[in-house]
Amino acid sequence: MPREQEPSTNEHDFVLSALQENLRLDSRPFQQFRPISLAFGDEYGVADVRIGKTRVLAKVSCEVTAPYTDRKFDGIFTISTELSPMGSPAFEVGRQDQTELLLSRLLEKAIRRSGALDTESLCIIAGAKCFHLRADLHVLDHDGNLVDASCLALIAALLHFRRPDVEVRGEEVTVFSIREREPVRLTIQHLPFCVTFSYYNTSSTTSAEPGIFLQDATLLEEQCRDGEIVISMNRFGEVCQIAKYGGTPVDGLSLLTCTNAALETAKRFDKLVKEKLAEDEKVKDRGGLMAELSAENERPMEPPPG
Amino acid sequence: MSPELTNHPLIRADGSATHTTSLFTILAAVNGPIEVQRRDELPEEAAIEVNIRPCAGIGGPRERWLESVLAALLKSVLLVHAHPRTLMQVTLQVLKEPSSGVRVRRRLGDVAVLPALVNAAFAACVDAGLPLGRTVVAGLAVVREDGDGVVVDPDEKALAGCRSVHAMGFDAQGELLLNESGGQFELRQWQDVFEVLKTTAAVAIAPTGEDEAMMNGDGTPAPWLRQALEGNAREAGAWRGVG
Repeated sequence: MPREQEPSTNEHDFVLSALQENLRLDSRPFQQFRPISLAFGDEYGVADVRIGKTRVLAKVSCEVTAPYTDRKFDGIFTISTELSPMGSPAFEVGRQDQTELLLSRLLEKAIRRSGALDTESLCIIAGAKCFHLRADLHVLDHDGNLVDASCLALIAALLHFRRPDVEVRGEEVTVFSIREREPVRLTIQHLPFCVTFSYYNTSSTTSAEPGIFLQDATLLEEQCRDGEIVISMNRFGEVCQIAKYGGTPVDGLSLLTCTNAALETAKRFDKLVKEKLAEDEKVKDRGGLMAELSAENERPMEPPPG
Repeated sequence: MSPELTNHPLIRADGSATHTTSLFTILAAVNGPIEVQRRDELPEEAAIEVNIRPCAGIGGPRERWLESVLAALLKSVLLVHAHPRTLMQVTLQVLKEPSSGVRVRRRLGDVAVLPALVNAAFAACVDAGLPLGRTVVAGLAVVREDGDGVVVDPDEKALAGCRSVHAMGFDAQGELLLNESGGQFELRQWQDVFEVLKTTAAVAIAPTGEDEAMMNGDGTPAPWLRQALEGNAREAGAWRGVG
């Protein structure tokens, strides 16, 4: 397999000197994203995210299996991020490279371990049956910022997905197909979004100037960077994880600035996903019968007594 | 529903195409000719690598089988001798498949996806500008449960209640390039299917006349593949003001 083509020294220097003059190659401000588009599929649980030339498709599906013996009350949730040569010829089939490893690790931390999905709600009979929810991420085009795009796609797909309704009578479980009963939404606790900052260490040994931070770097900018910081947070500013890769040190104060910038982006993502979901629901809800079809029990949130 | 082809939906890949039939949506990407790994290198011809990625889950023996069928077919279509010691890399991503509510027997479903994969891969190869020796059009047909009556390009319902499934590919001269079948059938039924699919394949790449717009009006199937390929060629030459 060919390796990812590295920028030439001239190209590399050009990007860096442009950055020092506060310019990016596509003349975006440092903290601005490329145009984002989010589209849902005809079936539940498919989200297609495009950030500039990067395109990621997330597909959520589920099946009924037995839960892990040590986690009897939890369903199973797995995220699979296998990169194919479709995104870039440098991705090899059947061999994990670093991009894939980091991507799967980050998503794992940001979404699975932050408890975004309530896995207990996927349990059908404790210790015997549960839903196995799997999310597949397909990178269709790779032009930088895979992590943010994948995370956005995954969250959108999870919100869009409906699992089949089930009925439990004693030990017997009936799983109703989509045609028989209106499927049920997943229980999502909060919406974490990943925001990646590319770090360029422009400070010389004498001045204490902090480096340059870019949001939504393109592939070329990613190849020239010195380090990256990935911050996952929801719209309330609750940080789920912070990861810093690359050797150069980043001072603590800039990290705080990044966290504040990440909050703005997370809020924008949150708004975008909710808007698009509402649009999609409106399209699917032809005739306005969706509310009547729902077999879900309404659970109003009551304040605790006392 | 006549099949749809969208050219060049992807930016990064050398060539790409989306192919939608009544059952499947396939996204194909082709990179080539590119550097080949030592162990796959062939001294006199290009190596062909096909990767099929299912919609959900990771590929298993089913995908490996489909890949082997497709690689053999593409080898007879691509001029592999034109680029020795290189690699033609074809990646096929299934975007939509029949919903899980419809139960289709294993082998039948495996065969059913083949024509869509072949057409998508071929269109992507054209888009990538790879040297091609011939044109290939694949078609799908099922024989109904009662044993006679051939349904071309079946929908989910027809596929679920059928006796046998046949996937065939033809070139522009009507030569058979791909023949895979599943289910129970007799030679007579296979011959019926062969004749029907040969005609539909010929229609798909039939030359379009002057009265192109009129042909679609009266219910005759459109030469969809030719139209898509001609559209592609027109777009490719648009920058120099040709056609």
